[in-house]
Amino acid sequence: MKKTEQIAYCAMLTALSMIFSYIEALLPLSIGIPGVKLGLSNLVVVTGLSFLPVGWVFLVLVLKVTLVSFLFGNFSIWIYSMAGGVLSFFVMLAVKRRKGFSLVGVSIAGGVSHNAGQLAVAALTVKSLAPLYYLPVLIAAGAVAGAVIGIVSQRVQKHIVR
Amino acid sequence: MKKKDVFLLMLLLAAAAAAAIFLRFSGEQEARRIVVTVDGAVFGTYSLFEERTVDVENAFGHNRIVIENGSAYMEAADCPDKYCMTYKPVSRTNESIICLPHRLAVRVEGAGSTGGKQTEIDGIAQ
Repeated sequence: MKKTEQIAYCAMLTALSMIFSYIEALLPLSIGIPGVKLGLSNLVVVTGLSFLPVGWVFLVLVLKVTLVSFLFGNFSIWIYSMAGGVLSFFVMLAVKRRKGFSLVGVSIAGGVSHNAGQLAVAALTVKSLAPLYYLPVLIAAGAVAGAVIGIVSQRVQKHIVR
Repeated sequence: MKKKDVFLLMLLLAAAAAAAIFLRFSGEQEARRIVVTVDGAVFGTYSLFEERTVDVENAFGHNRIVIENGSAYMEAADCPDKYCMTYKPVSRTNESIICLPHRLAVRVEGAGSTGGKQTEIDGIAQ
């Protein structure tokens, strides 16, 4: 893939992630536990990992988190999203390098580590272990959301990588 | 999807279920009170059996916690995201409500729990 192609894909994925975030903001899924959500915009990061060089995907992640946080949130949301995003990025890279996992496994690990990272930052912020009550449900929700995102990414990837 | 993917998913769901069961049945079962902490320090301890409104006002902002029918919920907050107001009411031991921008945590405790030492008294540690 040429560098110009990579830049174009990077820009397209970033733009898509903003649309996905907007769609998700339109469809709030409230079950009384903040943090449980599909994370539709992570579709671009997982899909990106399947065909773009790692550095470009990381750039997409940073741009996505920054743009989306300031469009729909604020500075504190940026910190939590960044903590979850960066941790899950490196966990996904580690799982991707292991044999036997498809993009679905990579995405599941990403979803769970994203939620775990955010919960850890939350516990550090309030200086209390109280947030950890939500760890089980966030692990389960992250795994399921990750699986859904992974399955969709796998389908999309087949059409991008020829 | 490969075998290892399915295995990973099952393992995580099993771990989540085990952790949920542990949290549900650890500690004193009968929920007695809520402990409100701000930035890690105990702000106050309030009985769940007494209907009342707790106003937390400090440099971080304002939160209003309402206790009624043996459970507590966040009625109002002037934080930017208002996530704390979307938590479902808490009534069981270990359940919590968090307001991140205000560094506030509400946690349900049983009679024998550690943490908030000022039992029955509505101590305001400020």
